[in-house]
Amino acid sequence: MTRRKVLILRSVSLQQLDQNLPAIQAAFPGAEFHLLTHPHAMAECRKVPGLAQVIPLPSAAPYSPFRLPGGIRRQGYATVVVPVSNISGVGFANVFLTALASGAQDIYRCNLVSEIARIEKTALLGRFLVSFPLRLLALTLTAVLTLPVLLWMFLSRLRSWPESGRKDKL
Amino acid sequence: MSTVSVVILSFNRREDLQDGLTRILAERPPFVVEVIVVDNASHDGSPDMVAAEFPAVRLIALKENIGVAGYNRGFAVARGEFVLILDDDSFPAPGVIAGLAEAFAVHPEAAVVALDVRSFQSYRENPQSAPAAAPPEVSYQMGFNGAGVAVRRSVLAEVGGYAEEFFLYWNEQDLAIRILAAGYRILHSPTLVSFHKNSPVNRQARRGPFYYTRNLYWVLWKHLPLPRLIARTTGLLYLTLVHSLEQRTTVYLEATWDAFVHSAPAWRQRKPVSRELSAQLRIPLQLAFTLFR
Repeated sequence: MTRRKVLILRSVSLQQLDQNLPAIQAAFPGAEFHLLTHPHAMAECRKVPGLAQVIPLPSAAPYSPFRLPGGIRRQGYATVVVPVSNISGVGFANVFLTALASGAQDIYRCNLVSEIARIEKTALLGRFLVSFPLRLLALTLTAVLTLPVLLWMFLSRLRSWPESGRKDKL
Repeated sequence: MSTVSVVILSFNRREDLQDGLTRILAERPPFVVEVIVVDNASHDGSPDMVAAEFPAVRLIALKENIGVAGYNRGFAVARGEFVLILDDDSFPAPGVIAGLAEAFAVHPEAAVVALDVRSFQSYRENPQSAPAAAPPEVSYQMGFNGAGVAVRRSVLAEVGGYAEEFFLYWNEQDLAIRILAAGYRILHSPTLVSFHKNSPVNRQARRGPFYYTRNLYWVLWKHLPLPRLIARTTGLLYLTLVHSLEQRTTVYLEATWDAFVHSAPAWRQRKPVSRELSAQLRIPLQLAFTLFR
């Protein structure tokens, strides 16, 4: 019999993963756990006990549904778990959208205090659609504010900025 | 063998501090020349506890809470060749201090050895999993976690300690950038571990998002070359507005206002890094907006 495969999308600290993982493992007994993480955290994540696979993201860029590693969809994950570093999961929209893009049947959130809750895909999509006008408004405000902000920065400080650059010895 | 000063910043975590000092002093190797506790005017009796129970520890009891600037008071009096920086609720795994000294000896190019900072829960569940001074398998990173990191004291003297105006958060990345820009490297070994209790004490709901947001602007302004500075500041402004609207809070706007109004130290200290280094830095803008609620 095939074991249920659970993919964890790690964007929180390793310390929090240490705290969340026992709760996630208890919530899905008998499952095989895979972890998706940024390339720079691979060595530390490989040390975490109980993970069958640690999969690197293609780059150090933030999670995005357009930057999923090629094999994720083919793996056919039954479940994706998104650990979040707060109570409600706000601020993790990009990770939840990546979870949606993974094609998993179910999506769960594991919060700061290791409470695990199933998130309906329709609710996720609805939240994204509701936030769309807010994002448009924020984009418009940013466009309006950027020029005055930059002017303020230039006028008040720029003349004294050392722009020659340091000679970094990389 | 290199000599080590341990510097701990303390604020209202008496029991955690007591536990950490007990663990450190229990195995204190001879090359640990001193343990320094800088107390940020705790009102839970932490300084009295240190003075009474750990007479070998050098205590610097400050009269007010000056945030991460307290670490600098400890660095200023440290005598060891390298300084092991810990929080009041973190401690190195057994044998790790010896491993650090060895790592510095084997890797003279490293100014910093960053520990793998893990949750205390993982130590409690399996204390034997804490590695002893194993030969470090190393990589080089662009930052470190201040709850377990060792820095050559000569490098601290050269580039300065933590940015005092930050008070809290992003101070490690700011120092890391100055160290990298000076041509040094940050070595990371996943076999050298410290454990962090991550106590909920002192964690105020608005403090994290406020300092994370404000100081992030300052990190960008202090270190990034102009084109990247403009792009990232614009990106951060957009995220500030999005998350203020989505999370229905003013904390990010207050932090942004504070960043602009009190930006003078950031501009004064501005030394843009090279484009090459700038491209390698990881400064996740999103992080500041994931800590609220």
